[in-house]
Amino acid sequence: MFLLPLLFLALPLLLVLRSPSADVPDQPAVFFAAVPEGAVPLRTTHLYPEGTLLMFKGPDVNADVRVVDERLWLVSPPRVAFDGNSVLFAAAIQPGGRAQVWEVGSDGNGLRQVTEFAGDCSTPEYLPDGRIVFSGTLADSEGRESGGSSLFTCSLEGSPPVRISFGASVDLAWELLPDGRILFERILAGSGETQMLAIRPDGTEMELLLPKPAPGFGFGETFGDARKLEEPGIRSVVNTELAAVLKGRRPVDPVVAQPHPRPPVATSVVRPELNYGWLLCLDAGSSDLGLPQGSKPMRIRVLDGLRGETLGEGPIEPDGSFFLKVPADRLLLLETLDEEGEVLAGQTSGIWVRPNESRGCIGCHESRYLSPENRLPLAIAKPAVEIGQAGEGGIR
Amino acid sequence: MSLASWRATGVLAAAACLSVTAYLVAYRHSDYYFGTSPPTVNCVSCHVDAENGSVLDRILPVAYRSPSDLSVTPDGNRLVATLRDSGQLQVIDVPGRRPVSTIQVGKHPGSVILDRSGTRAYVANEWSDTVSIVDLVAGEVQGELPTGNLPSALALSADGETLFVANWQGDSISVINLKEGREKKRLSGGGSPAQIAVTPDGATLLVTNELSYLHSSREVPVSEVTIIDSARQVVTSRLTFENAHLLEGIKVLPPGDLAVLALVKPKNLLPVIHVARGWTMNAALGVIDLKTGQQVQLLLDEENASFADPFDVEVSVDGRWVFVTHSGVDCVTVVDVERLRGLLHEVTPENRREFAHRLDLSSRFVVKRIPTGYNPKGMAVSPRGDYLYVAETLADRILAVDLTTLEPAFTIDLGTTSRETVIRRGERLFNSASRTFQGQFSCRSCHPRNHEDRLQYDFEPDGLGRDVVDNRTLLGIRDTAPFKWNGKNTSLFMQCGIRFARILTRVDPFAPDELSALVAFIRSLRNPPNPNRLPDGRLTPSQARGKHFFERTKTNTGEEIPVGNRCITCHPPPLFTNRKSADVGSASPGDSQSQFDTPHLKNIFSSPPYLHDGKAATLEEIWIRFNPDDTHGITRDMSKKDLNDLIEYLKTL
Repeated sequence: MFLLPLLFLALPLLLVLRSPSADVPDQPAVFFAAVPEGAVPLRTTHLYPEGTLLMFKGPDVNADVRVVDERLWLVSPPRVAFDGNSVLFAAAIQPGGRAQVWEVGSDGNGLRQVTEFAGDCSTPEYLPDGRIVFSGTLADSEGRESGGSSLFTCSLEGSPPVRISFGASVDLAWELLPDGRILFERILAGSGETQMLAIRPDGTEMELLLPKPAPGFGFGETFGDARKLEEPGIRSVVNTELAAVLKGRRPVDPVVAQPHPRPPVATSVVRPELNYGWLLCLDAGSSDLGLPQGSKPMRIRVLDGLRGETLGEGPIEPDGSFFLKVPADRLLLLETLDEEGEVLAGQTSGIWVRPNESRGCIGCHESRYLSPENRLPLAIAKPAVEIGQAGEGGIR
Repeated sequence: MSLASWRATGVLAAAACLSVTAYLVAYRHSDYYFGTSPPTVNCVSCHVDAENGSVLDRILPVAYRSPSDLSVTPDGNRLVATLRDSGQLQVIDVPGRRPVSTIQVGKHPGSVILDRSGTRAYVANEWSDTVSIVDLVAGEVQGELPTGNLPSALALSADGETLFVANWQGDSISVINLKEGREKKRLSGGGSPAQIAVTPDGATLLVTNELSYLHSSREVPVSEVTIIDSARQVVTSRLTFENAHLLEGIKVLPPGDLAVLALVKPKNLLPVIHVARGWTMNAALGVIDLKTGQQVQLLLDEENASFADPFDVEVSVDGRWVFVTHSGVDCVTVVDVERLRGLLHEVTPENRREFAHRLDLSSRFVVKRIPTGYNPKGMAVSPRGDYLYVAETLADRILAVDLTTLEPAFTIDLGTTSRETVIRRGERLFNSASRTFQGQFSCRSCHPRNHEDRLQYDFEPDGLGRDVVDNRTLLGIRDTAPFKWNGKNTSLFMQCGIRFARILTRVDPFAPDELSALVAFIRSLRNPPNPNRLPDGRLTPSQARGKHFFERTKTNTGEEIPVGNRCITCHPPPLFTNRKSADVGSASPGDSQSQFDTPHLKNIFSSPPYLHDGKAATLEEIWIRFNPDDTHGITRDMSKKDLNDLIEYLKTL
């Protein structure tokens, strides 16, 4: 720790020898998907059929554009690592094959498969802690495609995937928000409506950001051409010369393989060995849905979000608060009930808690612009009401 | 062996001894600052700057300035800044954009104001309990005025003959007759008076109070704006802000109908289960209708962005803009006053509470967030209204913002090296919200003035609604490990480490070098001088009697007090803690344990409420309410006078 004598010797050198960085900026590579004219990404995976991944490393556009691997035929928009040294994407290696997550060096070399997932992987994204998140299609109990997909995380070395979103909907990771959360699109099962949500990389604190994607914000045409192409460094790639090289294919979703800010690592409270979490609502009466006039929520009912079966009920305190211990990693639907047991309001899209997560809500479908009021919820003066065998040794 | 060999051996032996001695000295020196010897720190961390100043400057420790408050002369040519760390008043030539002179004042100068002519400055010396009267023409201090404890803000009466001084620690407002040079009276504050605003006619003073009223630990925090009639020198009313604390800067808008102030909305009654969307706290703007006394709170935060630690408030000369510094996120919020007034028209008694919690309203009246250097605090507007000056406290710089473009125009460097010592780095980290999720809060947000906020918190890992703990001061805790009320954190490294990030900040833990810096800063914190001690160090008769009770071994009736139940056993000098846990019967029904860390008692007078969950609002309540079975020392035999004496002694520690 202290090498003081050596330091005294080194001190003059430290004061005098200050060599400026000798790093010379290298021309960064640009990666993009090349897709047939008119092709749009598949709605439920954001993968481009018959697309492939190309890279370009200037300055001679015509000479340097090359296909990363000729075998790739179904690709997702590429993503660049925070240090700019590698690129992540999903692709199938041959027609009919499962799309997996792949990583390639920013020089176009070292292509390797990251995942060995049972379903199709898509929309992978680097996480700031060194892991990745991707969307994976789900199979039903008999192994058939369920039509849904969820978010998963795993290490870059391909550790077993950890599911972080739940339900039968289609969940597609979009990008990492500057605060470290994952922005994802949810296509609701049944209605097909879409929502934009944010989630911490451990699957906690899922939050609705937008009821649907904002105009001008999306993959394919809008994402690739309207947003990313405006970035300096990419603009030069998409020009007539390049179009000639592509021979009828269209470049979409270009990314520059260069360092970019790493969002903070969102720490985790999840304890995988547990099978329950907690749900605290401050005021079940606070709702944008509008409760029937004169009604007051007296109880809260929790249902399994997939099967629809009732898991349990708990009281709502006079101040509107309730505190439940609920099964983790399971889509839950909540219903507020009046004193007669009639449903006053219910959820359509559901929520979940991760193991050991304490999920707090201000109300039931309350305005997302509200910050909680500082008052002591009556519900936490008592132990949490256990729902659906949420205790130790329960459902897991 | 030849003589030459003996000499060579002697030289080597001497060099070895010197090296070992130097190593041990350096080790102890490091241990003093860090409590250990972190591998991330070496001599260069504090002492060597290879880029700036002369060779000597590069090696000596840095003397930072830390400008905290500003004032501009009426002609706009001179700017004065209090330099907290060097105890000086800095005079700055505005046209030349350079510092021209410094005048030594008292310790920790905070607020500075000028008289109408701009030739005389009044400087509040927080750690000297004085106000320095500075002749800016002669460039010297003309005199010192004694004040209450820890003077934090100043204001002059309209005739310039009376000086009002907000005494933060003294919880009072001194009224000083400047002609006679003496304190005429002292008005009662409302919980650590922080800043003062004067109405345009000079008739009314509005004093923000930084801390909320003392209350039972699970009640809504309520803070006060004290209204004073300047001519009669009396408190005319006390406006209360519910669910608000850290009331700081305040200004009255022209034409004098509204006052705006910076405040924080704490969420200490909610379990700390989230950080986003203001689950832990919100930055807010308070607005007072001076005709009706009605007040409105509006969040300065947005749905996914927080603007931690709102501090000073300033108003443009034309009344078009209100500026708020956010010392935690290094920016100045610009409020469009016309839009703000429009929004206020929509406030009704029914929606007032909801408005105070809406994250979408700030977009309707905030027009810009101007980036600044480290830790922006005090502000001043040039008399012509063309520039806003911002004290970048931890950058040792003044930022000038062009008010026609609302863009940073230039900075005035106060001449300190750009070197960042370990302690300075720790101070910057401590005051920055950049290391919490979405920048929601900084360490300072709960530890204003490096102290504590009088609130109690419910941290989630202990179970929701359980194990509520009182916030503890960071002043003077250097050698008082373990930390936390449950005594589980054996060092500050552990206290501020991985668990802290997982539970509270919700982002990456501090990197090892950052953690070392933060710990070094916290360990460097000292208590301000204790005003309850006589200057000569002797005790008053009451304090002396209290000392007897503190150290006694027998009750008033002559019975032996068991060793484990004597004050001095668990609270031995010099820190007045044995650094062990004890069960003094203070556990509440929601507590998971009955033993708690024995707190140190240094400057204990300044950190109410007391006991691990803050249930005792005063020192007296510890024994008259929460020691029914004499489990926290034998006090049943003591009279009211005996207890008063004991408390008078405790206040001197």
